[in-house]
Amino acid sequence: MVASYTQLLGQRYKGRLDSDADDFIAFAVDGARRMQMLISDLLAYCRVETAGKALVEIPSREAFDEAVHNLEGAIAESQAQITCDALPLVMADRIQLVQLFQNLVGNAIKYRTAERPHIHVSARRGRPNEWIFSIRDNGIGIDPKYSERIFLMFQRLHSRDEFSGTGIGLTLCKKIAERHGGRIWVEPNEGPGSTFHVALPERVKQ
Amino acid sequence: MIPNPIEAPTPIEILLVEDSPGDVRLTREALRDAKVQNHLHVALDGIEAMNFLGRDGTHAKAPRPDLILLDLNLPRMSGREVLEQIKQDSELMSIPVVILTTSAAEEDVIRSYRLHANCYITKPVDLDQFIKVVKSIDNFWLAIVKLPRTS
Repeated sequence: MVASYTQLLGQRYKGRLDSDADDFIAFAVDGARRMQMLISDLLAYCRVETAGKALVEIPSREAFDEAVHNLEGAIAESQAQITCDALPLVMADRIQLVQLFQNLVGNAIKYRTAERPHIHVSARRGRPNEWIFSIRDNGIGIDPKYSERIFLMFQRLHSRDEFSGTGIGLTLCKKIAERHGGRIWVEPNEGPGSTFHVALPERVKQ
Repeated sequence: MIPNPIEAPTPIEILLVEDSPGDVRLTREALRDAKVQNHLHVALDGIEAMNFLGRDGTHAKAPRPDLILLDLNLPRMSGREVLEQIKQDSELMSIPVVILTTSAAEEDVIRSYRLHANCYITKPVDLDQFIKVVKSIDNFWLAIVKLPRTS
């Protein structure tokens, strides 16, 4: 409602009031849009617990494909090339696994350089009964001193002008990973970009 | 009718450290009719703030601020870290730092005072209240209080 009417104000009156009014309307429209994103992301975060389903064995490849499908627009816009190795069966809440992949691959696309994004997803065995998924990008990279901070709620490394975002995405990923009995961390690549690793259990302990 | 602004020998230099362009603009608007002449400088994150204070790089000609208004929630380097660095630096520690932030959390208040913030203000959501608060900052810190100004 707020967003719609401020946008309407902007469309109808831009350039017809004074420049202060144009500025104020722009701030209001931007603020309303950010509020909507914030509410949506916070809801998703709360729902990890409240709407979480029991973990069942699912092919992680299906969740990955669904996430990539949801990112169609961003992929087309960035010309991102996304590849993956064979991905295993894991114990997961399917919707949350899709969210996890979607956030990580989405970030890999968003935080890109002028180079075409190349994103590769693979999985290897970790501890017994554990798979470690790796999402590798060739983007702007993350200074290791921030590698824990980025998983905290609302902590961002960039201003809104540089990259949009609520600062909730990675906190959401961490919450999902932990709900699955797993963990998430990031390491810098030897070349450009970062690799996010997510450890997930292969099966429920009998 | 705005009473004539009090003339300071030179305008007071204020550094506002704030990442929200909307809040920057509101603060600027509220300080426009300030009692005391002032120049408002803005740093959009903690690192830019420290560069400004250290007069590094593009900020080589930056004036030393007489007062710092500091938001706690900043990208990359939090306001808490900026506060800590300022109050540990022998050159900068005497500059009064007014925390001006959205957080009302007691933990943030206590931690800020422990790090030697000069005072802590929670930004009102309501516009009129916000303008009142900024005018109070002007009235107290610029008009009433003596600031440790260096030439």
